[in-house]
Amino acid sequence: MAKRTNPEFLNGVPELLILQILGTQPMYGYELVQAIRVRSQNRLEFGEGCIYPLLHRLESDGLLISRREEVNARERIVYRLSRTGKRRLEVGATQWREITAAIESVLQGGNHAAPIVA
Amino acid sequence: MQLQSWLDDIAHSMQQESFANHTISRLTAELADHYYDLMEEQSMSSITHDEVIQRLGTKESILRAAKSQRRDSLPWLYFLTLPFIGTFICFIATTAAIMLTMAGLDYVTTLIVERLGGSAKALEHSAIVQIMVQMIWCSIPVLSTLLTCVLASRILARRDNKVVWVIVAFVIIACLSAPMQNSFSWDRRSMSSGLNISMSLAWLMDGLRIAQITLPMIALAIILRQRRQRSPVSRKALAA
Repeated sequence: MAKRTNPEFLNGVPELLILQILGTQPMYGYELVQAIRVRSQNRLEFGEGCIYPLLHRLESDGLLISRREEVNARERIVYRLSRTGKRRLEVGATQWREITAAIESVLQGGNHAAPIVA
Repeated sequence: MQLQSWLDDIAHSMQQESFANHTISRLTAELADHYYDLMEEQSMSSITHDEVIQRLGTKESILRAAKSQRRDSLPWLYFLTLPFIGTFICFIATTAAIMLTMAGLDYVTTLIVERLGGSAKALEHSAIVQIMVQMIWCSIPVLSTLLTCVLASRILARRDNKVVWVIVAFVIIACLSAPMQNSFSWDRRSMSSGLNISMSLAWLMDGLRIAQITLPMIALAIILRQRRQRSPVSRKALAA
C-alpha cells in the first residue's frame, strides 16, 4: 500500500514550522530544511526542494522578507520573518496549541457524566 | 550535465503550466544552490546524483508544490494598476462624501436662518457657520487627498513593499497640484501684491512639479533594487 503523504489535517503545518524557525534567525533554504529535520528529530519527511515554492508564497503574502547575502563565500537568498509574519506566527501557534489540546482531550476520552439510571 | 538537464526539465514543465519566467528562474537557481549544499554535506560519502535528487524531491512533487502555492498569474499588472485605480476611487469617494456633507450643512444653516426670522444674533451665527463652511469647501482637495492617503495606505499598500507608498505619494501630489494650478496662476516675475506670497507659491508649484517627475524615478529605482536582490544565480555561475 503506497504511503500517503501530507494528510489533509496537516494543511498549514509547513507554514507554521517555517515561520517558527525563521522567527529565531534568518536562514536560506538548505539551512531551513536542516533546521526542520534536526528540531523534528527526523520525524518529518519531505522533498527538500518543495520548500522553495512555499517560501516564495509566504514572501508574496508579506510574511517573509528575502535578501541576497553572501554566506560561506556563496551568494544565497536568505529569508527572515516580517512583522506581519511574526503576528501570524503568534496567532498560528496559539491556534495550534488549542486545537491539539482539544484533540488530545478527545482522543484520551474524558470522564463522562454517568448516565442517569431510570 | 545531469543537474542542468534535471533543472531544464523542471523549468520546461513549469513553462507549460504558464509560470512566470522570473518565478521559474528563481526556483531553479535555489534548487541548484540546494543541490550543491547537499553534495557538500555528503562529500565524505559517495553519494550519487540520483540520491541527491531523491532528497530534493521528484520533478512531479516540486511542480505540484509550485502549483499549489501559485497566486495571481499577472501580479505585476495588479500591482501597477490597483494602487492608481484604488487611489482614484478613494479620492472621488472622499470628495463626494465631503461635498454632500457640506451641502447638507449649508442647507441646514439656511433653514435655521429662515426660521429665526433674520435676527441679528442668528445672522451673526449663520455668518460664522457660513465662513467655516466656505473654508472647508476650499480645502476639499486637501482633505480628500489626506483621507485618500489614509484609506489607500490601509487598503492597498503592502506594508513591506515601499514602492506602493511612493506611487500613492505621487498620486497625492498630482491631486494637490491640480487645484493649485487653477487657483494660483501668478506670474513669478510680477510682484503686484507687494508681498512675497506669489513667489512662495510659485516655488511651491515648481517643487510639486519636480516631485511629480522624480517620484516615478524613485519607484523605478526601488523596483530595480528589489529585483536585483532577488535575481537568481546566472547559468554561467551554475556551470562554474
